[in-house]
Amino acid sequence: MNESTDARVEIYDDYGVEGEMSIPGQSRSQTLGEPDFNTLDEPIRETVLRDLKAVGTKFYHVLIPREKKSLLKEWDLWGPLVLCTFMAMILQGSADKADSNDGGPEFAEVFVIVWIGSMVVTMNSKLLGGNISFFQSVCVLGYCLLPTAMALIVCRVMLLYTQTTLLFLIRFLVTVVGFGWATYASTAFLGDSQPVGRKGLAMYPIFLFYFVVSWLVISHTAS
Amino acid sequence: MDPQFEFRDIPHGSMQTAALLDIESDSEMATSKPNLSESPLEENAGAASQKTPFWSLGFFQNLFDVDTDQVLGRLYGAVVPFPKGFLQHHINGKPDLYGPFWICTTLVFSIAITGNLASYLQAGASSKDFHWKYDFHAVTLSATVIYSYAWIVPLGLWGVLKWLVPEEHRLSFLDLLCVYGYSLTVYIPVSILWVIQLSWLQWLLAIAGASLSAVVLVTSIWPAVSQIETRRYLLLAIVLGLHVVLAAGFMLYFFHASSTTADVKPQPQPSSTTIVPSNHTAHV
Repeated sequence: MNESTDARVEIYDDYGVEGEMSIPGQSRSQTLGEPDFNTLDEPIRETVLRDLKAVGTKFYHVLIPREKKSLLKEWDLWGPLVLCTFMAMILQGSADKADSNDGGPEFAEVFVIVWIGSMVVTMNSKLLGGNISFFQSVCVLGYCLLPTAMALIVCRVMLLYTQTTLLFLIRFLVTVVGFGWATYASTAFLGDSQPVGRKGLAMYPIFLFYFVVSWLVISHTAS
Repeated sequence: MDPQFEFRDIPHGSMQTAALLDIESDSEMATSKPNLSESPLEENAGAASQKTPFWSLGFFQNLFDVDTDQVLGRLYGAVVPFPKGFLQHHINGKPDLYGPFWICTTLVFSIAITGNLASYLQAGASSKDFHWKYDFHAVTLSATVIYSYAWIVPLGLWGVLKWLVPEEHRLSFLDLLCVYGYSLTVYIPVSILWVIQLSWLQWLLAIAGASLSAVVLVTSIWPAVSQIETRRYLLLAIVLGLHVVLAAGFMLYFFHASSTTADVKPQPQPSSTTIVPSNHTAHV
């Protein structure tokens, strides 16, 4: 967002127009509500609730990705952190030495896959010439893990029962839906930021990222 | 903040820096970035791109300067080798790192995922009542092998060529990196087909995949290697040998049901056994 406004300011600068110079400042005050909004006076509860509400709204927009710019307005990494910690906690293999055959990833490995993965995907779209800031993209990729995290919850509940082929098929289906949903949502948010001939190149790594996370979800078996 | 902003914001400012950015865009880029195409440095782009220092973001942006169609064409060229030479015909002096990087990453995960699938099938075939668990650490291993192969071998080859080949016939390190990255393309479909647990089919696929990508490699580096006076075939043999060892290593380690361990284990097993993915233990 900063980039585009900066660019516009520069263009106006070339033509000698001065009126629009305060765009960045103006947009910041709009996001907080009133033009001279002061957070110093408000109770802490309101501050926390406002941030929680912002995170909740983002989750809602991931589930129903209708409004394209909704996740791009203001990035935060709270949602990705919560989702990533949750998934890493569920997916990690048992630390029990006796069960030496447990091939699940370590807590840190899930963390690394999610964070390094989303950073590499973001670097890729930046290098391809994408018009999006680094943390905006990391934020979108992190929030779009929500469908796969929900698939993980469903799978975890199903693993409580005795495993049959039917249950596996349901788990598989749920994971596939979560994967498709995550890919669709992130594509909807990030698709427009790429130059025309390169959308495919930028989308493929996103697809691969969610594919790998979904593989972790479907492969997770209760110990 | 992060360094990308600096680069992005500069070109709209002074004329000097606008010219600097234009180094990255050559004639093909000009259509997608019309605001940059007016620079007078446009025709110099090819020569100037050599001067961008490798630690700058612009250098890497230059290497990711490809379109979807271009990458698809290169992937096709790497799977269906063209007699003219992959490097000469498809890369054409404009190596990219997008392809090599994402081909390697895809191969890392496709081998880890399908390797797990293969070990699951082997476990299912060897006993009815089994408790199989996936092995995430196949990812770590395949990542180590593939990334180091795709970087270290081109680096070594580049060194040898720099030492033995006259300057006008040398290949740049980026060219070699690009060729090696794209030559791994054919292993992605092959790694998926390796899941089928038929020994002869696995060997057939390994041979087919290795020879297809070997053709890509050899046709690309031959113009440079042929300049070496003596022992050029030795160098070629080493290059091909490493490539075949890579393919055989993938197949034997991740996919092949080891016949030796199957022979050793006919003794009666407890009703609920935990089958270690047998190909991960000891053989080859």
